[in-house]
Amino acid sequence: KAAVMGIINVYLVAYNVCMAAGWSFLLYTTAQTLFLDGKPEQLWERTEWHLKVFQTGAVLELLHSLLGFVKSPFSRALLQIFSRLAALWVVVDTNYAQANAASRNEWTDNFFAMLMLAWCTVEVIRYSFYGLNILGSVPSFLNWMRYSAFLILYPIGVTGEVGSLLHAMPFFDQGQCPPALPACNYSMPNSFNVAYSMSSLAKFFLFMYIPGLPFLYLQMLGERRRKLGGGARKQKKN
Amino acid sequence: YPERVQGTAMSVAIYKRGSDTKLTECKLGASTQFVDIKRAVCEKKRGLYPERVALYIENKEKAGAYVRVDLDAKQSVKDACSSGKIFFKDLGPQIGWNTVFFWEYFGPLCIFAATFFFRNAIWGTDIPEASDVQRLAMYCWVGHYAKRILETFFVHVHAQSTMPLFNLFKNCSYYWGFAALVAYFVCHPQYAAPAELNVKAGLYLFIGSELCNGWTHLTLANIRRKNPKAYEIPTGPLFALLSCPNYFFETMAWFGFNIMTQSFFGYMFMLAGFLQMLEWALARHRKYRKTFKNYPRIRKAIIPFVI
Repeated sequence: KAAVMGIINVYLVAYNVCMAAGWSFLLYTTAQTLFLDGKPEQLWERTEWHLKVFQTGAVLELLHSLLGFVKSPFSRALLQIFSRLAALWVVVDTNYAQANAASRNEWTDNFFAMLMLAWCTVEVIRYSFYGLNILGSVPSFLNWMRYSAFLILYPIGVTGEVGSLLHAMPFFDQGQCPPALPACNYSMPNSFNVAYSMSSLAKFFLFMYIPGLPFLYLQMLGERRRKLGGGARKQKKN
Repeated sequence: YPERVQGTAMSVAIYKRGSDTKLTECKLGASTQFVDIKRAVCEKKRGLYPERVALYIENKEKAGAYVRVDLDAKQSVKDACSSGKIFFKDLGPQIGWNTVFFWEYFGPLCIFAATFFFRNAIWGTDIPEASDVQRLAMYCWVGHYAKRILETFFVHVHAQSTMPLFNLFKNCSYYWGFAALVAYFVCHPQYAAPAELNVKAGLYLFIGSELCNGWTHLTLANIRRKNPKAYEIPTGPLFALLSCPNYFFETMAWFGFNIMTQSFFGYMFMLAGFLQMLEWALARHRKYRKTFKNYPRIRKAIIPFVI
């Protein structure tokens, strides 16, 4: 049994290292494109495929949770991954689709930039933390980052996500489907007595940010209090 | 606290869990009950009431851990206070079970009825009249929830307990959300009813299952009629093969409803409810088997011969 645990841990460390590496590259590219080159309009071109690979690869975490490799609850992982995949493959992909090139403006790029900064930073910290945690030694600085970075990154990321969603809404209202989901509208009458439209799904998704963000933010705040304690500043110095 | 110290009445010191500062004390007389200790806490802490206070004692085997005091008379006050210390936790705002049940069930009843009677307000006046199947669906849905409300107030016997206030919002979101989804698509002007055979078979299955479910509830209530804390093996034909026939028949009732109406969200609602009831049934089944050595081996939790 110990041998199996060992193999699982080796796999998990490898997974976390790969993810951390991938997201580090994305973070580097994002920082370079936005701050060194000052060209947010090139961010999507430069990062699209890496982003799609590494963000979609996170579905493996659902498997880890189901198989009991990691302790985190399945429902939390499901919610997190579902919202990321929706934001990427439904919202941002639609904004940058060829069909919508004419509607692309600086806000398309600015919201995407905010989203990328938040996602990349959070993921680099998260995967490094998980990997080192399995190995048993997390530097206190990284521990502090894990439980503090979200304080500004959640609002920045959510602003990017919601802004992108509002930009994409008119396309959905016209009946357009995201490039990845060619059939996203289903109407009645039919024998299942159900109907859905990307437009209404997107509005539901938008609405879910209202309870969703406070809930996740407060949950992280609670964890922060527990993990860092009242002397959060003391811990950082140590 | 040695009993024989002269002039000292026996009392227990009350602390908040994890704290070293004593909050208050409570004198222990011959007739002191746990609720008196809780009241002592409430006197010192503004805004608390006994239902919000949970009592704990230190876990002798694990330092820093606590064990919840079992109020169902498993532990006597004297035993719990034998170390001289008792700890409390604030459970947060509480709400009564019957209150939660009422709003959970009244919402869906109103939502479906309103969707049915105000079809013109929702979809305009240029729509066909509601079909017989749609009307039948409304009666079944409303009837189901009316039955549940009546059972809550006149049949079920449960301790006057409370639950966290947050549960009210969580449970109502679930019930009201699904009610809106099922009602919307079943009352829809483009709703397509299944074949007449399905409608008839579904309706009979629904009615029969509701009756059996009601009978199960009455049987369970009778066990606690004289002693609200009674815990016995339920008997009767409905219990022959199951520990929780009430959950089985509830699922069958919804199955009947879905055969009759055939909607995606109707089936989703049935599935979601079944998964929750499966979890509850397995727990109860396990408890029965653990408590009663002669528990009938043929009984399963929720589906005869299966699980």
